[in-house]
Amino acid sequence: MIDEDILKDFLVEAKDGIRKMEEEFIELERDKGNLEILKSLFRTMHSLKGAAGFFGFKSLEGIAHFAEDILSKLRDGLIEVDEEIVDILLKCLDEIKFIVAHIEENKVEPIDDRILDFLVDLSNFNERLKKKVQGELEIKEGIAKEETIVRPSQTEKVEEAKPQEIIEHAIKPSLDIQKEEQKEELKEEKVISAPTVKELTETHIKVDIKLLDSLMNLAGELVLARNRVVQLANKLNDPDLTRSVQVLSMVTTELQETIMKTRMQPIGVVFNKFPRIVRDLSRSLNKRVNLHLEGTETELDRSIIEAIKDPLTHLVRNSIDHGIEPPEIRVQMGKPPEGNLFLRAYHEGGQVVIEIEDDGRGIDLEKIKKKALEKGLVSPEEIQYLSEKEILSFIFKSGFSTAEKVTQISGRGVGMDVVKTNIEKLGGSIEINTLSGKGTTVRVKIPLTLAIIPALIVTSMDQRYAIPQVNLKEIVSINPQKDILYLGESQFYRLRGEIIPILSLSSILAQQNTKREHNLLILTTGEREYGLLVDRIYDSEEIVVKPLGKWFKGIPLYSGATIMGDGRLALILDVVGLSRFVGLRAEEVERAFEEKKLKTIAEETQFILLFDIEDSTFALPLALISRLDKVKAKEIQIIGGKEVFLYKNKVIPIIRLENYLPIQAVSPQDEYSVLFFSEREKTCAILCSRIVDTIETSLQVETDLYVQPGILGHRIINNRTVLFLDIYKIIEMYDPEWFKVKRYEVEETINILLAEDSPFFQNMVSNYLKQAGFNVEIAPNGQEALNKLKAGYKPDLIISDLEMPVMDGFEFIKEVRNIPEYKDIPILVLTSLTGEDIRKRVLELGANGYEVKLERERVLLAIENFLATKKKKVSVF
Amino acid sequence: MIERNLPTTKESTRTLTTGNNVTLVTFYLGDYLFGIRAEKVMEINRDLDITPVPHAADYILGIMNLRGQIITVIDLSKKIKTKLLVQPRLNLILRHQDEVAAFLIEKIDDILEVPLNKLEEPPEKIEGINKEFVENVYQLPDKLLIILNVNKIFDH
Repeated sequence: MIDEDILKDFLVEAKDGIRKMEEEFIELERDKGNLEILKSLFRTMHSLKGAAGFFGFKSLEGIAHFAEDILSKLRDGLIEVDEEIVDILLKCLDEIKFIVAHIEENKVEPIDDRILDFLVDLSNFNERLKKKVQGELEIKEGIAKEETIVRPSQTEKVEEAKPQEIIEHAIKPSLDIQKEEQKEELKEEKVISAPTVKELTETHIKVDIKLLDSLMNLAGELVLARNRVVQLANKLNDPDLTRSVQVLSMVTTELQETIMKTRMQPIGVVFNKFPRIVRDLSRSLNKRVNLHLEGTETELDRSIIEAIKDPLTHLVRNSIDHGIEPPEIRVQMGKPPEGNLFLRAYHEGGQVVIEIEDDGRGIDLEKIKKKALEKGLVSPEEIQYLSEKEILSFIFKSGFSTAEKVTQISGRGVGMDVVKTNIEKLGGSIEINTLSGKGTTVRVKIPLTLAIIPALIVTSMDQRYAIPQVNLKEIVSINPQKDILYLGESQFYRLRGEIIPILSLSSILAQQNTKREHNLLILTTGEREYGLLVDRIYDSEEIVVKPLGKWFKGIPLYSGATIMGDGRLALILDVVGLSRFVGLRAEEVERAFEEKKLKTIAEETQFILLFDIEDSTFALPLALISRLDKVKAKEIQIIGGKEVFLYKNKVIPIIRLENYLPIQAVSPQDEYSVLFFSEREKTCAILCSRIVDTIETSLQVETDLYVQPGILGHRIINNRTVLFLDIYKIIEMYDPEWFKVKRYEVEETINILLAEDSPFFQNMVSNYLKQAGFNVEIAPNGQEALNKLKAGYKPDLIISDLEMPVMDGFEFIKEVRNIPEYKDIPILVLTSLTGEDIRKRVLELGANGYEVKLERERVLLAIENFLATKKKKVSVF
Repeated sequence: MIERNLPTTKESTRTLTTGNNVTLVTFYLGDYLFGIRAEKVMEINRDLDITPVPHAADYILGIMNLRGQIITVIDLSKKIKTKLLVQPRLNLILRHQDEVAAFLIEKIDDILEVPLNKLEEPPEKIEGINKEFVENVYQLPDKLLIILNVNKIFDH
């Protein structure tokens, strides 16, 4: 029944307390008036009583109760310490010891008449003390005399309800216990029947953390020394030596592992403090809360356990104070009167995730918005563009509290900003998900240990570096000449259709690139992915993280250093810092390119390729281009009235934009740049004068000036007008058959509602949908789309973006699914946000599919599938 | 004789003095003889393996492994802007509060006990040295001993 771990903790604590009290009683005899000792004794006895009560150890609780009572009288100066009192207290301690020892062995309290007798004695003694305190001043000796006589007669006279109750409780369990067990108890009793009891066996001792730290350091040193010995032994090749070195090696490894284990503790150590906190808090707030603890056995490094205690307490308090509603309101809302609070811990990808989930009212985004405006954190114009996540992030701003009135719980000067800072200090992260009226989940991710992490060892310029495994997604072996897209200053790699920026470790660290780096690590910062080119890859190792000195605080690239097996050092790369370090520079480039006024918040960014055709500059999302190369003028041939060239044994048709757009033609050059565009096994190439650069930017375009098929809009970049190309339209103009997909059910018109804020995507997506034969209705955001639906528009399919102003996609999906007549319309989410968590979230909200915007083919396929299943459903009925 | 009353606290703000004397470890760097208060000196060793740390300040040579502790290696000549005669090979390992760092020096000279009242304020200008890090000077019979301010070297 009782959780073994908790019981173990209790026993450790109880034994600790007993040892402490023993010392203190002895000290007390010597120094009778010492109030500090009395206070300390009282506290220890009190917590023992509490813990015993928690486990239902009634006799233990009873004894502790009386002892506590006596101690409180001593402490308050109502009676004075004398030998008799110390005797009886020590006797209490002996019995407590006996019971604790029994519990440790048998997990239950002993059933023993002696203990019951003692309880009765205690109760009587206490009664007398009480009377004495009540006024009749008796001489000490008197009491002593009386005590010896009184016992038998008073046993029956016990009238006070409370002690009686306690004794009854203590007796009760004995009735429930099976006879056989009783026999065993009796046997045991014989062995230990003397009033004082066998010694408590120590299974746990307290050790200074510093001692453990230095043990771990020493173990590390030992490993290094061992490695050297192994090398020498291999050289000498003496069989005896080799054998003993092997033993040494094994023992060393085991020693190191064991020492590391000493630092690990189950998170239950922290979690188990919460039942009490939750109980007290919900009571003081007149709320009813059921606390559910899950994954208490999840192990974490001790130092982390210590450090997350306060942030977790704060989050739990928040959930009860702000999240869970009072019972009457819950009932009104159709919820059970008791709120539920889940504290959950589990391992995920080398990290520990702690979730604090409540089923309360959720976080009121409007309130946060209001507050953010009040505090001037954001302007009224900006706020309508903010996504839910961004609005929630205000909670973490310093001095931001949404509690309208300051209760005793909130307003303690600890804000969510402190929580966030503390968690980030541990190398962790925190995120909030909330559903209005349904509840809030706070997810805290923290590393298993601050000290030891699995890491991949790589080299750059012959120096070793460690990359935390947590950040590593995969390793790709590449051919740098072929696989890297060099565009301007930046490099990219196409990973399963997704274009990701890549960095070269040697050029970041040494600003030079001497060797060819053949290995590409795909790293994730949690928010974005990027590739890192390194010279060589070694094994993955468990490394011990050591801090760097203060001179390196300003460099974001490293999170520490580690000592390798040969005693030399390797720096540990900070994957987030690395991207920030480089990202800063990318931002500068972007700033140089971009007119400031076009910068709005909360917009999706894409890598776009800028290229020239004579004096006109065009832009295309990089993801649409499958390859970039050059073609010599003499390689271009005219076959069957079409310009083509041979590329890797394939005939590639050439598209000249000047044939479809009113622009100046490409003037003859020896060599042209070509952009390859592939779809459905077909490839064509767009001819251009030269490639300018790639930039990461939003796809914000203005659509009023160039109204022209094939152009989605324009934008000023770096003082030049850049035309954004609608490549699907151009290719259709070039070859109307290119995209023709055979659709069988052409007899009916299919209506699609497209919610999308960016004119660029509005045009592009609606163009390719129209090409495929659909009717498209466009709404610039979720709210407008919803309005259209409410006005009676009934599409066959809804396609929605996620990042939109006014009402984002998440909210929109939620709203649509709340309207009964629209809840069966398939919703396809089209986004440039990628990530498994987002996918999961939109599907949870009720979307039916999830595709990336630029993947035209897949989008169309998904639409066909939806419509097909819908048809099937209809035909069934 | 010197009373070897080593400070017991690690936070050695206390000075290793006997009466009104201060004990200094002296060493050569370039043309100059420098002194550092002995209580700041943990040890002196030779030629440990230095791992460079790209993007660190120019006077940081890197990090090294001092029996399991990772410490910063600082090119003292660059820090105080002296010219070197030979490639320094010795690590003078200093502790200041919780930080430990190794400073490269050319040659160790002696341990000197100097009366406090003989310490002088540094002159307006010392040719070839950044005066910022000079705490005092002390006139030896044949040479000027430049006493460096370890706190400043660690803090700036």
